[in-house]
Amino acid sequence: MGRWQHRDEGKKVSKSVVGSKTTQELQDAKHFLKGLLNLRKSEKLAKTYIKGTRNAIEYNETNKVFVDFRFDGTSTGRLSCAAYNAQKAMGVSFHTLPRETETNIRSIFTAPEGSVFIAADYAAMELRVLSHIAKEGNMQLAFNEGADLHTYTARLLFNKENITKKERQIAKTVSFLIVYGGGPFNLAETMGIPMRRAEKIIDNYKNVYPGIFTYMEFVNEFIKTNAYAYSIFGRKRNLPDVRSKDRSVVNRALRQGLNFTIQSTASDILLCSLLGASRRFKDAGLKARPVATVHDSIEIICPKDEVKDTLTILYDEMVNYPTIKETFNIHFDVPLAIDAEVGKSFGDGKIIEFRKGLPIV
Amino acid sequence: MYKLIEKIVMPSLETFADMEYHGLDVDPKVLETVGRQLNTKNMNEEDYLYTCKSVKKTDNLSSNNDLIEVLYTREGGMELFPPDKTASGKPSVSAPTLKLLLEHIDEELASRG
Repeated sequence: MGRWQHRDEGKKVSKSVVGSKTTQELQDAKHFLKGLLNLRKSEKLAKTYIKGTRNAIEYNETNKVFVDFRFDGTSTGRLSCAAYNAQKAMGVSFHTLPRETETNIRSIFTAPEGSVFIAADYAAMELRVLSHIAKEGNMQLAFNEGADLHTYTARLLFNKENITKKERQIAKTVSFLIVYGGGPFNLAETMGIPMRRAEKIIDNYKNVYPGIFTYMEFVNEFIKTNAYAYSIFGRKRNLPDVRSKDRSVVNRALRQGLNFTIQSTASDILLCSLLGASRRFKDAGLKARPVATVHDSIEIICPKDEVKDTLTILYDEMVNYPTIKETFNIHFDVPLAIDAEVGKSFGDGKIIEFRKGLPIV
Repeated sequence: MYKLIEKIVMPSLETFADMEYHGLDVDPKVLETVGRQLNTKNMNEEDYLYTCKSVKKTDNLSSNNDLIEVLYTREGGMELFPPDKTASGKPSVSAPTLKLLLEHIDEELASRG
């Protein structure tokens, strides 16, 4: 066993072996594999979060964890919060905190008595940023109409009105693949579809959102001549690898550069709204204070009776971005949107609707 | 870039210092409850796996060698074929490989209706 001529041979043999089994045998194997994968995942969760947090509160001698924010932890300007404290062994990254699990791990992080936990997450942030900087009219239209982007994309991609779940998922995967510099091969792998179909889908995508590809070409050319990429906020990322003789190294640098222009912009938008919001909380005499930022979201703790005022300010800062307009004179072509949740803990938030910028509490 | 540092990054340090200073509250009761739930779930899952026909009581499911036996090599067991191998040439039992196996099984089951 294990003497394969090339990569796909194992897959072929595996398929034919599977084909020779009885249905009962396959059912059994399926349950075993599923169970095993679940077990591995949840054992990892227990080890990272339950044990990690236990160690941290023991070390801190109080029921708190302390996060260490780093401005220089990433090359895109995203913040990283490295560890609870100096001891690396206790590092529990919020960035990998799972959102939906049977056992709600997020709920171990709570607001103190009399306060609530607010989590406000930018919705589809990276694609909004991409549609703005790439000046991609079709995609901007979707955001301006407030449509569900992935369904909208799938409609254009498959040229029909009714979209299945799988088709929406494909559209979503393609969009993110483009952002992260993937190709037809990755699409075929992740979605389990034939290579030829994947190629066709990506070709269609070029017709649906031509602006994105023009932008990609522009960025690639720019990086090749200047060996750096820059974001609309003026952040720069040097990419000396683009001068390498190794094609795969060059391609990686180009992917990193393209992703940088998007992700770095997204993270700076978050930084601006965080700063703006915490300033305005103070000015308004509110006790609300940010406690963490994870990816494209801001987590805030505020007293129960201040929820409405806090949410109003937060919504305005995040969605109408006055700080960015004032400081950088940047106006986005697409509206920004957030999903805000309020609850007793990080994990049990209820979605809050906003009407005309005011929360309906 | 200067503008970004001067107007945004530097002023926001105060906010971040504040966040680091105050920390984040953990509810020890919830921590224990969630920990227990997760443990029970894992134990149940493990018990279930040991009831599968081709698994022996002596198998260690977190050992790759034992898993290779259970999935691929043991006679009268599942006797599947590994879709992929590790860098050293052993049959792979990594998550992506197992997912691939699942996919093959699902496809086959779907084609049988």
